[in-house]
Amino acid sequence: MAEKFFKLWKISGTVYREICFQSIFSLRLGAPLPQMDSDKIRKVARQVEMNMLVSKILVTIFVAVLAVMPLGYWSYFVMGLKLVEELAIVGCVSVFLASLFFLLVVLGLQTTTSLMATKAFEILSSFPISRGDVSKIALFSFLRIFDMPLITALAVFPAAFSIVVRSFFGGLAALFTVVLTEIFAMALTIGLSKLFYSRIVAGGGGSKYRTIMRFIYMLIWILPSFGIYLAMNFATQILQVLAYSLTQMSVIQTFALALVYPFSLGFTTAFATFPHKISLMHAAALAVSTFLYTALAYLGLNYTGSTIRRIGSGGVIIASKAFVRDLVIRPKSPYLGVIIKDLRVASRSPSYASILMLPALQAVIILISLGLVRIDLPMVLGFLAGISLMSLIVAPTLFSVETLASAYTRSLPLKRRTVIAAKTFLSTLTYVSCVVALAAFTLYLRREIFSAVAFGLVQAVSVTAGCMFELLLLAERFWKIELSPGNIYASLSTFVMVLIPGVVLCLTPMMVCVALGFSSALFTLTVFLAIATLELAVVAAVTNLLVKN
Amino acid sequence: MSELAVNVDGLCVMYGSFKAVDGLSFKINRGEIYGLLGPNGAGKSSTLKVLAGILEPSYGKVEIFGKPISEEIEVKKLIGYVPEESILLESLTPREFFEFIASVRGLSGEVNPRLSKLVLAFELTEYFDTPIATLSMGTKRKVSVISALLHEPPLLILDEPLIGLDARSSRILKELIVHHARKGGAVVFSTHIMEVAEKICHRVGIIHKGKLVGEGTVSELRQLIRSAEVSLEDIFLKVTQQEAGIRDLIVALEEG
Repeated sequence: MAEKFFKLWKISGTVYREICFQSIFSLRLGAPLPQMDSDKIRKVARQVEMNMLVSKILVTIFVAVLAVMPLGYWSYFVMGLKLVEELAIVGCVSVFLASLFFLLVVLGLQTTTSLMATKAFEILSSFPISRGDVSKIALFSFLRIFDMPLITALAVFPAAFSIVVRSFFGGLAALFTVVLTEIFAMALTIGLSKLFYSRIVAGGGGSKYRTIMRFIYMLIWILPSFGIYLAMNFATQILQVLAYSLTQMSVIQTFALALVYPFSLGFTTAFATFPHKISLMHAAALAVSTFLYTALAYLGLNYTGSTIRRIGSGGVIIASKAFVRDLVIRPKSPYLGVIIKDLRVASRSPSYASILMLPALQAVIILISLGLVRIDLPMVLGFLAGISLMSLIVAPTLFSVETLASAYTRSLPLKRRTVIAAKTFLSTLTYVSCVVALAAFTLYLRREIFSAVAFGLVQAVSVTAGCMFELLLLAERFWKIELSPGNIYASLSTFVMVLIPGVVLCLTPMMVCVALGFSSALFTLTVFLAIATLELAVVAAVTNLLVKN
Repeated sequence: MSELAVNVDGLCVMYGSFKAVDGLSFKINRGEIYGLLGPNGAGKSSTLKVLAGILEPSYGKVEIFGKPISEEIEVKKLIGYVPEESILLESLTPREFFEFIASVRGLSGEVNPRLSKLVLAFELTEYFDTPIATLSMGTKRKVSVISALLHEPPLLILDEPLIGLDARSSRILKELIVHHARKGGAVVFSTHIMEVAEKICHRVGIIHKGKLVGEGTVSELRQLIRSAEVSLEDIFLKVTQQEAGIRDLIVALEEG
């Protein structure tokens, strides 16, 4: 029995490496690897394994930190806010469970989608391995995606809880809530991946309805990543707001809260820790909600198991023939053709879409902060720097779309200048859209709008220069040496080397303005504009000189 | 435009220290179908990738209709390329993919009648709005083939074009290749199917370990090996020195 388990676990390691390789390199978009000698291929494969391991270790560290961090607020809740102990437990447990849930979903989404698409199980099925064993290998491969964070959460949080709150039964309850959360996270991961694969990859197409549906599914797919990003940015504030809200709640409100995940599991842990402090009404509500969530977890576990069994037997991917209204295409200019193609490809791949939406995400964080801080020129420049830096990541990401299917597209008469111009335009457009949103919100708040609009638009010149320079470097590399396909996740070192000069170009006007002081907004703006224009002129001239066609 | 469609002289392609193509030279005229034959790893695909502008030659001269391959954009306008593996932008539908190709090639809406004919001929209609990622290998190959034929290029570069195609589509493609050459276009294609090469190629070049080991019409190659009756497969095995030992190997395998 044990021998068979280890044999299947070992095979699942090979499958896991394969799906990691696919998720990093092809990103399910059919990118080929450039022709390489065997040493280079081995090096690339090792790099992929290392990237995945590093990513898993980072998430594990996050899980461990998050398991301890809310409990670190225990004394603040109880002593500082004078919150009753059972509500302090609700706060700590809920925040950890929510964070764990999001982290596991984010970690799993990218790789699990590759699990859906992998042909590895078809290959295994042709070997003398039973269907049941192939399903087990699929399950083990899935568990390998999460193994370290799952075990860390199960071990660290209950142990930390038992030690800080000094309750053995509380620790046991904490363990139970972590188990439920992990099952929910895995079920959601596999559900979203399946949804993504069947509705976005397999369900694309031209109609407006399908485009809207694809956009909605993409948002659902990306939301957990945004949630965790926001949670990381506002973790302390979230804890404080939650603790404060708990102190202000009426009995009825806490009763209602005891029914909602993850608070209900927080209440369950509180009940196990201080059974005598919970009212009968709350205990009844808890019994109902705990039963419901346990049943839901049971269903989730079954769903996860059955979906993985279907992956193992190759029954998840459904290709559908779409209704074809006509056979007419509408060719555009090469420039527009590249832009439309980039938008289409990026909107159908969460890894690309999430990077493309980074400036918007940064803008949302700024918009949330706008209500809280006083806006002056240095603050505006700080905001603009944040959005600009995110836009600088967009340019290389868009370029990496060019490397997909390059084994074919390089045979097309596509001018490098057209590629650079189209992608510079799209990158700058993402930045300008964010500035417009920022300006509109500033106006809505009836704050001073001049600096946000004026400096925001002038900074667009600098962002254009930065993006163009990044694209120039990538284009030179791509057409001279075959650049590895895939996006920033796949070849981080290449992208970092390209990002550095872009960042320098983008921040130089700001740095000069900081050095000059902010005595006069108009003077600062003039200097800013002059430097940004000079940068763009130089970068455009260099691009013109180096890129012959 | 030059009468010489392809002029390859002393072409070398290196991958690191590995020499995939080693001093290859051949010419293809207008109106000619040239078959590139060779065992796996002989350097056929690398040669075709250089002609298609995907790979840069390490050494050697390559001209397409008299234009050096370094005139990248001008040369690429003259070719239609079908890669060995149908690697396309898989998240797009065939409609979106053709739209992109047509945009990059500067085609207008006038391409639509030709596109419709090709789509109907290769029976792609019902998959026109289905993402390429979900299509079968054969259907993806049809998308590749239509993309290469869309702009009616004077030179077709086809790397194993018949792999994955059903009998009907294979027949159509072969007829299109012959028709293309009759109209004055040139075709270079690699294949492992000797019967096809024998039937439709005006001349074949046999590559082995990156070098051209035989070239000419089938009858010229028969003279080369001094045998009047043999098939192209026999010629191929002989000039690539793969014939010797085959019988012994088969006997050994049959004996278990």
